[in-house]
Amino acid sequence: MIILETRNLKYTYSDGTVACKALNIEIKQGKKIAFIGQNGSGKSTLFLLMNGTLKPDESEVRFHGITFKYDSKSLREIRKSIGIVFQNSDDQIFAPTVYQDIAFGPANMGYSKERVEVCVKHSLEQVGLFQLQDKPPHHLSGGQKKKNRNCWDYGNGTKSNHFG
Amino acid sequence: MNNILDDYALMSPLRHRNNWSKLVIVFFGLIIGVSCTSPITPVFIALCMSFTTIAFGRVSPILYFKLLLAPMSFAAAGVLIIAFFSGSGQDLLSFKLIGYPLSIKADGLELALLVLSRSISGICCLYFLALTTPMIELFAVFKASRLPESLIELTMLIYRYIFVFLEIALSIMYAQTIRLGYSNFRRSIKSIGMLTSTLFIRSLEQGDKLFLAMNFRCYNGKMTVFEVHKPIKTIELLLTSIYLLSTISLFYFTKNISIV
Repeated sequence: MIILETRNLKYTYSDGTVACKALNIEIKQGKKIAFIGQNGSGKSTLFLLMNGTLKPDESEVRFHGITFKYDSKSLREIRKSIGIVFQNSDDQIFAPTVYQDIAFGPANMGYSKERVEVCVKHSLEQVGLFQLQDKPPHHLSGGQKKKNRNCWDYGNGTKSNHFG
Repeated sequence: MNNILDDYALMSPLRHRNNWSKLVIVFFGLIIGVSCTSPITPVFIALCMSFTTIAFGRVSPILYFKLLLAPMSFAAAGVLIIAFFSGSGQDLLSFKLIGYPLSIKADGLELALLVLSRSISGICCLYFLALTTPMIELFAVFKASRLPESLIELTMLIYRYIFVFLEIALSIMYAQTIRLGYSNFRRSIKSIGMLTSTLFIRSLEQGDKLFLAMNFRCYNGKMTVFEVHKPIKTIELLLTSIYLLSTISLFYFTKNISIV
């Protein structure tokens, strides 16, 4: 089954840089895919296009066969399934403790307090940060911060993940 | 970066105690300390708070006294001025400094001692809070005291980003140092200027990234604060009540006592 698909995708930045041109991509369920390219070849732009942060100039991105709509409600639906992890962890960890950071996603999905707790504890155990849940992020090492970021996607039940 | 007060609080064994009981102890101490009329009660409060911070909070006494030194030097300067320039009546001590007569009078000294003891007690109370209760425990307290949600959210984000920017600033400084940015005074000024301007630009960028990052995780205008329930233990309740009662009785009995 195809989760994400683009047809003839084009994106130009406001300074005139063409980041993506004539891109056809199909991402199938259960596959691990790596994007390899030179610096500035548009990998990160593509990821931002694939979770609806950027809107393509031409053509469209489809999620489960349905074209992306760019209103905030449908974007939120898409982002429940498509996660992005930035290169620099500090750009993305913003809550004062590890626990609260991981609980941010599930809580925004409207889960009950108990369900949030189950999600967070489960994902903390998966990545092995359970002992550190009450720590503030600035007491974590670089690697631990990366684990923290990956942790939320377990918490969210994300189906597709991009690593920037 | 082990010299931030918040770090000591995070490692303190008292961190996981009931936040409200700590806040009650601190505010009680502050109010009684400021409103009493004899220096005895504030000294008692200061001793109790220091003992609690050092014995139960496991703060090293050397660090604690070093921390006390900074505000104490300010207090001492103020107190000296009060001692010499206020009060009337009989001189306790007088001498001439470069032809200018200086004297300490009884009620001036009394007032100076009161101000000194009040400031010590206030500082000790606040250090007790600062060294045992990290900021992250206080967010739940803010929430329970019904502060506006957006204010709490801002506080949480600001708290987090203080450390991000501190780290950025330190790494920029390191990068500048290894490229001889601080080799002389002129270069240092220039480097500091560059560091500051870069920090402003970075914070703008970071704000953009934060907005994206929050959106990626389905932000809908509400950040949940999770409160961990920490029931107050019998021994804590007992010690707190003994402390409160003895302070109140001392406050009552030393009302009209002057020590000079």
